[in-house]
Amino acid sequence: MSSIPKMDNLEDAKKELKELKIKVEKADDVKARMILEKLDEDELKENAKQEMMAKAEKQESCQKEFNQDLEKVKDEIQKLSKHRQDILDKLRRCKAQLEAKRTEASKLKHKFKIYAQIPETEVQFLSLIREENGEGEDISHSVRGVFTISQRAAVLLLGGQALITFEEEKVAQKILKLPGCRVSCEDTTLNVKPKGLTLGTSVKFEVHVDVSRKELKLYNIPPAMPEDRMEDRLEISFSRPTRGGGEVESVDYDGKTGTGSITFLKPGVAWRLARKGVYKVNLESEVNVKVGPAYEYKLEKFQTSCGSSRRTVLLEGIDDVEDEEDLQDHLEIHFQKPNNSGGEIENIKYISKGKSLQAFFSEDKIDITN
Amino acid sequence: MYQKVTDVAVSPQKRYSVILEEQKDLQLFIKERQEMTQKFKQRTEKVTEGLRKDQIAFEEQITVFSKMPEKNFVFTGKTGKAEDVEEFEMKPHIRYPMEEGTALITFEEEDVATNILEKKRHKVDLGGECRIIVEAQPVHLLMPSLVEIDTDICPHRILVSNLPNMDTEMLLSKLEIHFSKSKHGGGEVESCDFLPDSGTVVIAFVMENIAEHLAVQEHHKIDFNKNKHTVRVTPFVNGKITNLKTRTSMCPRTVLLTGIPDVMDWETMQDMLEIHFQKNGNDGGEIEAFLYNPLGQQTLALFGSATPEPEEE
Repeated sequence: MSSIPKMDNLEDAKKELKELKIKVEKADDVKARMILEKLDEDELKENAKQEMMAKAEKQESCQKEFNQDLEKVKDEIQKLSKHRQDILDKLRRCKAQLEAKRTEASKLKHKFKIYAQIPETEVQFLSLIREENGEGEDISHSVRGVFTISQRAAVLLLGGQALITFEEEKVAQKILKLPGCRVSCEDTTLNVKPKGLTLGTSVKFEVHVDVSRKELKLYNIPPAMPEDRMEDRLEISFSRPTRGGGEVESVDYDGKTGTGSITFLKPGVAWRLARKGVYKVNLESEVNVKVGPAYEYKLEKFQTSCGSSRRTVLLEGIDDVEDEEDLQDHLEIHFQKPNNSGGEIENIKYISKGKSLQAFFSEDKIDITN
Repeated sequence: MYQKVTDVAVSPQKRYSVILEEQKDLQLFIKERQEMTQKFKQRTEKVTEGLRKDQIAFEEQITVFSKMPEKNFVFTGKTGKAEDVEEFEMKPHIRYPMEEGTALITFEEEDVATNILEKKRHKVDLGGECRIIVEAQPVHLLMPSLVEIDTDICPHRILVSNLPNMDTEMLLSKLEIHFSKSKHGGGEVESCDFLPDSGTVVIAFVMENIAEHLAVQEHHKIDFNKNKHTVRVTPFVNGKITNLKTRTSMCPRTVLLTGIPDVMDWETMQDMLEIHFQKNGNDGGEIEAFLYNPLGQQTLALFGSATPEPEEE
C-alpha cells in the first residue's frame, strides 16, 4: 500500500510540484506586474505631486494677480470718486456763476423797466381855462389830468468839489481842456482840476388820467340774489341822498366778479362817494360795499434821452483853505476872467470837505446854433 | 496639508467671484459717471449758450440806451440834501369842470384856507338887505403815485435828432426824401412827424428792420438845400404802462364854495365873493386866484403845481 501511495505520492508530488511551479510562476508574474505597477504608481504620484505644486504656484500667482487687480480697481474707484467730486465742484461753481449772471440779468432788466415813485405834489386852483379848442366831445364829463413826469437830473456834489455853469458853452469847453487851474486866494494858491459831467439816461413822459365825474366803481359786492334783482337793490341804495347818493342813470353789475358800476345823473356825486371808500347797500341785509373812482389812463410823449452838460463844469480837489463863501467867491473871480480862459458865470456852487449835496440840473433851454 | 490645499483652492474661487462682482459694479459706476459727465457737459453748454444770448441781448439794449438823443442840461444853482433821492418829479395840469353854483378860491396862505374850511358855513353880505350862505369844502384830486412802464425798441420807427435850424415843413420833406432811398439804407416811409417838445423827428417805415440798420449807423449826412448836415439816428423806444397807482391829494390852499344862488350877474357876484374872502374880518386873506361858476353854466378850471416853473407858458 505504501508503494502505491508512494507512487501515488510521487505522482502527486510531481503534480503538486508542477502546480506549485506554475503557482510560483504566476506569483512571480504577479509580483513583477505589481512591481511595475508600483513603479507606475510612483511615477503617477510624482507627476501628481508636481502638478499639485504647479497648481499651488499658479494659485499663488493668481492670488498675486488678483491682489494687483484689486489694487488697480481700488485705485480706479478712488480716481472715479475724485472725478465725481470734481464734477460736483464744477457743477457748484457753474451754479454760483449762473446765480451771479441771473442777478446781473435781473439788474439789467430793471434798467429797462421804469418804476417811477412819484412824490406828493402840491396842487392848487390856478386859473380859468378859457378856450378848449372845440374837440366836440363833452368836456364836462371828466376831470382830466395831464401829469408830466420826469426823472430829475441830479449830481451828488461831494466836499471839495464845485460846479460852475458858464453863460457860454465854448468857455466851459475851453476850461475842460485845461489839465488844472491855479486859483489864487487871499494868501495862497489852489490847484483845482476841471472835469466834464455825464448825467446818464433819463426818461420823461406824460400820464393822462381821466376821472369820470358821473361813474362810481363798486367792488366786493356779496352775491346775495340774482343779477337783475341785485341791480335794482343797488339802484335803490345809491339813489338815497341821505347816504350821499343821488339820482342814478344806470347800473352795471357782474355777479361773477362781484363788481359793478353806478352812473349818476349829476356830476360830482360819484367823486364824493369815491372819496369815502365804502357805501352802505341794502341787499338781504345791510352790507358795506367798497367804492372807488372810475378812471382811465394812458401814456403819452414817452421820451428817453441821455443827458450831457455842455455849459456846466465840475471842479475837483479844492482844499478848504478858507471858509466856503470866501472860497466860492475866489473861484468865481478866477473863472470870470477871460485871461484865465474864463467867462461870464451863470451859477456856481462850492462845498467844503466833509459835506455833500444834490445838485439839480434842468434842461438847457438856450438854443445853441451851430 | 490637505486643509491648506483646499484653502488655497476654495478661497481664491470665492475671492475671484467677489472681485468679479466688484468689477461688474465698477463697470456700472463708470458708465454712470460717464453719463453724468455727458449730462453736465450738455447742461453747461446749454446754460452758457443761454447766458451768452442774454448777454448779447442786454448789451444790445445797453448800447441802445446809450444811443439816445442827447439832451443838454445845466446846473441852475438848485441844490438839495444829499439824502434827497427822489428820482422823479411831476408837473400836474388838471382840467377841472366846475359844478354849477360854485366858486374856487386859492389863498396865498395855507392857514387862511384851513380856517375857512374849518368854519365851513360863511354868510356873505351882498349889500342892502341881501346876504347868502355858502359852504366851504376842500378840493381833492386824483393823482398818480406810482407808474411802472415797460420799454421796448420799436422795429418800425427811428428818432432823428441833431437837426439843423430850418423850416419844419422843409425839414420833414428833406428827411423823408433822404430816408426813403435804398442807397441811404432807407425804405418806404409811412410817416414823418416833428416832436416840438424835444425838437426831434420820428420816422416810421413800412418795413421792419430798416429802422434797426439806420440806428446802427447812427450818424447820417443829409443834404439840406445844398448844406450837408449830419443828423443822429437813434432807436425809438416804446413805453407801456404796466401798473398805475393813484393817490387822492387835498389842495391845501384851495377852497371850493358851494351853494351859491343865481341872484345877480356873474361879474358882481364874482367881485362880492372875492371881496368877502379877502377881508381879515371874515377870516379871509390874500387871494391868489378866484373863479365863480354860476348855475346853468359850464366853466373849466385849471389846477396845477403850487410853484409854477417860470419857463412854463
